[in-house]
Amino acid sequence: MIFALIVALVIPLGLDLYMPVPDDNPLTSEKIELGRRLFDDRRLSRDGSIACTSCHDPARAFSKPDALSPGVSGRRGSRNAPALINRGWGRSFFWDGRVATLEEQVLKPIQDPNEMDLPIAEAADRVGVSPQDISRALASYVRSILSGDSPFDRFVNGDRGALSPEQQAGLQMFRGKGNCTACHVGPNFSDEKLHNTGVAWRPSATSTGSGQVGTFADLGRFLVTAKDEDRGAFKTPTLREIAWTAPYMHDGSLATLDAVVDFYSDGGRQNPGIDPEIRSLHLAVEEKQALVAFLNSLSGSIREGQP
Amino acid sequence: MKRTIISGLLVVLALASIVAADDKKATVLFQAAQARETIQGDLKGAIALYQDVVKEAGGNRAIAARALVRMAECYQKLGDAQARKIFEQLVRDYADQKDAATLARERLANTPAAADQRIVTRQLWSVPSEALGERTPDGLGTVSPDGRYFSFVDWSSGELFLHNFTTGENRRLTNDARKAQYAEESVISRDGAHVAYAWFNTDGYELRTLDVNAKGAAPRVLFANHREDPLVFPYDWSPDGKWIVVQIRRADGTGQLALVSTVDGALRVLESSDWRRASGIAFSPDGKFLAYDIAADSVPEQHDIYIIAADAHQKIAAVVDPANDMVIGWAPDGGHLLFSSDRSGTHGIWALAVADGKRQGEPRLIKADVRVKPRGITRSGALYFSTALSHRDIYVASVDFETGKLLAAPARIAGQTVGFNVAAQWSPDGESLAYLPRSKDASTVAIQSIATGRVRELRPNLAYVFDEPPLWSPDGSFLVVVGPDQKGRWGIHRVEARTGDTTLLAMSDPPAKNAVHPIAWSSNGQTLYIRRAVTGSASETVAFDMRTRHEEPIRRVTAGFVPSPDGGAWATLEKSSSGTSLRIEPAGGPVRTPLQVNAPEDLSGFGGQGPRWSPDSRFVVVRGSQEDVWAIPADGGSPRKLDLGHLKPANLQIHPDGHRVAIETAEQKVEIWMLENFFPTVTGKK
Repeated sequence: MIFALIVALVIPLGLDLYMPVPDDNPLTSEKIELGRRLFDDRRLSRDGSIACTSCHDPARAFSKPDALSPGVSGRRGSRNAPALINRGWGRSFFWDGRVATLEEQVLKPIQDPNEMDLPIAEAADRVGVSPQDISRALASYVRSILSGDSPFDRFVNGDRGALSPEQQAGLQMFRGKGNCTACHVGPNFSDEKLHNTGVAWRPSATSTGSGQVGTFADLGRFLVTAKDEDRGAFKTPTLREIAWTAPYMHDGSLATLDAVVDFYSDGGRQNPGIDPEIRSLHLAVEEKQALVAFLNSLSGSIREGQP
Repeated sequence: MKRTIISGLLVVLALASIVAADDKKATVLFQAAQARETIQGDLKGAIALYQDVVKEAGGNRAIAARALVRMAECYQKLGDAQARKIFEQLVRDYADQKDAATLARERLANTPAAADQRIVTRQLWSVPSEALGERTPDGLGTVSPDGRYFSFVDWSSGELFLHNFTTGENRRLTNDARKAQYAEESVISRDGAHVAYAWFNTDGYELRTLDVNAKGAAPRVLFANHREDPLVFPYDWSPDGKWIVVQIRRADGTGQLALVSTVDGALRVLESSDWRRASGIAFSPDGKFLAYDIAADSVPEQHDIYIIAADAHQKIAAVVDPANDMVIGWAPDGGHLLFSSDRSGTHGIWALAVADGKRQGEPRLIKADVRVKPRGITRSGALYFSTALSHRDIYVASVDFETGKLLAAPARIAGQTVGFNVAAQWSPDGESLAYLPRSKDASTVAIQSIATGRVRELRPNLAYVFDEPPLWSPDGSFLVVVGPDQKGRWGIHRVEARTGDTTLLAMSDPPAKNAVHPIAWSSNGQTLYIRRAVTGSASETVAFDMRTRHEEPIRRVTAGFVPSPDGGAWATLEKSSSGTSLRIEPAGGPVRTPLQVNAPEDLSGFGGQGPRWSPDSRFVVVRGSQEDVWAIPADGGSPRKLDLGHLKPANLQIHPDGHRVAIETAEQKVEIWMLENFFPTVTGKK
């Protein structure tokens, strides 16, 4: 009989000690290691060209510098590959929050025609691991990917020299005039909720500028719930490692952090259902620079797998 | 014959004196037994004393029966079958003692009604009124595990005290309070030797501990991270005394459930909680788990209960349902978690069986129709709780500011609720009175018509409306209130007077702190003067342009800086070694030499809003340290003490007619009660 050693991850500074782990998928060294191997296994794609690491590069905070990463046969989806860090604390997954568990999420890209395009049964045959074990192993590995101990974390825990004066000004802006904490809160800088910031809104050519006429290039959460109030709503992403995870937004449409800050300073893109927290901020140049400086302080150390 | 009669009388008198002496002894023993049982929690010691009572009772069958009842209940708490034998003895041998015999029969029958009647509720202490401030019950702490002591803040000094239930004495523990520095929430350790408490100073809160037995010992500052974790409150000690569980509110308004090491002050954050707060957090008796309640997402009135392992390896949903469920504490044997809930339609005490941090079965109702603010469970299983009997209410009177005389006696406003109404403010046309009915939802604002008495309620979209009179807009179309929004961000908000629709005007900096307040309108109604906390005790008066939302600092002050209604002057109070000065400056002009006010008592404004101007700008109205109210002529005449009848105002607002005043009184009564004898009901032991 083989006894699996249930592991406790070493949690970096700045993150909660409690991470939700399903009772039927406790973290074990074996599963995490299997998950790491599967994460880099191109056999999980139809033509053997794509692995999870193709879109979630460990060297870039498990993200990719493409707005829309290519899948098999060069196909592209409509959404940016999010950074897979600290997802163990996630409450829903994908930009539209359509999946509630990591165990479910990790199997979707394998089967998505625009990504790895392989039925899960066939994937299981190829790697010699059951679909359930693929799910549990990959989920366990993703849970083990942790980012913390950033200069920001050290600053809020007492090291007053960890942030430069400009970064400290940016932190104050982040919490105050910038109103960023309306959505980017908590250890992962995400409320794990979905908001319409207008990034998917395309005003019509005849629009007078009031933002009331146009369409959504991507309906976001509405595609899951069919509720009008969910049109154009996307999940708040983490800001950890944000310096490494350009381009930004659900569609990768904003290339730099400066562009992101400009977007919010201008009040997003006005549309009929825009989140009431999104409003013109009229930030001065130095305020924007301070914000960007602060955001760059959210890069810490990334660890994955075993402690 | 005569000698016989006299001798007989002497014998009777002698016998009577012996009986009286025995009675007295039995009574004294009975009181000692009660104290041993309920205060010290020594059930076996109490049983021995009750046995002595029965021996010494002699012919006093009533006291003997009472002693037997108490003895049986002690045995019952110990799970000893001797309880049943004593109840049977009472039924058999003390049938003439009707109350005791009836109770004994019910215990023997063990009906649900009997079970409820087994539970005993007893008032232990009424907190002295001089110790109560406007902030009570924020300063109430917990009972010691032996039931002997209770920690609390005396708001007359801001120091932390320990009340002794046995002697009635109050012993001061801290000696550091001064203006803007004071103790708040406290909790006594499981061994009764230490107390952990939140200490507020101008930078924020600190977590401190004290050895209660070491007189004069300096407190240990265990945790202080003012800038990033400005609020930290203790909830419980681990049974081994090595950890204190705290709730932290961070600078961004989010919360954390964390453990602070009593060895080195290290912080272990178990879980972050966005803007929601736990009302109760308690270590299990074995120290392995913590039970806590927290509001369900987007439903602030619905708290659910979770149990998290102290090493964070697991968390379970213990009580999750549409009801409002809040943690009270653990049974001494750790087998049950007590919580309050309105799941039956009214508030009651419920128990959930728990094993190894996991729920076992469904909760059971222990006591119906009771709402407790828990203050700890003792080793003997007695639940201590507090009740606040508030007499905070609003009265309307009429005064002559020229003479200070009362023109019409104060009359309480006829609102929908009595005793919990605060923070009144007249509308600009004088036809309505806005106030906060605190018996309702914490964000409710009431508007009462003076002519008809009819009250309508607004429910701004805020987590809480702060205890400060709303400021009406000059046209009466909206109110300005202070409070945190649903994301815990403090600020001043505009609330439409007809609909209650709410919009943020200015956010506090940092958002987690209550650091911005409205003061008054400019005479043209286009500028709202606000006060922002800066550093330490300093604040800044700022002109907030309602149209552009631009803020222009005007003056850095240490007390309220309030414009006159006609815009011609500013008033502020300044304290110095020579007394309190009322400084009145012409608006826009040079600073005058301060007008020195010779008043027989120290003067202050009304809370965060400072002194009040009369509508004609002729008088500045302030409060004295003896709780009197003074009208000070702005042109330098003698102060007049206002005759307000028997009322001692915590707040006062002047009607546009210049005579009527709305007075808020702040009398409160806070009691500490004990609920005992309900664990046999919980465990089902007979």
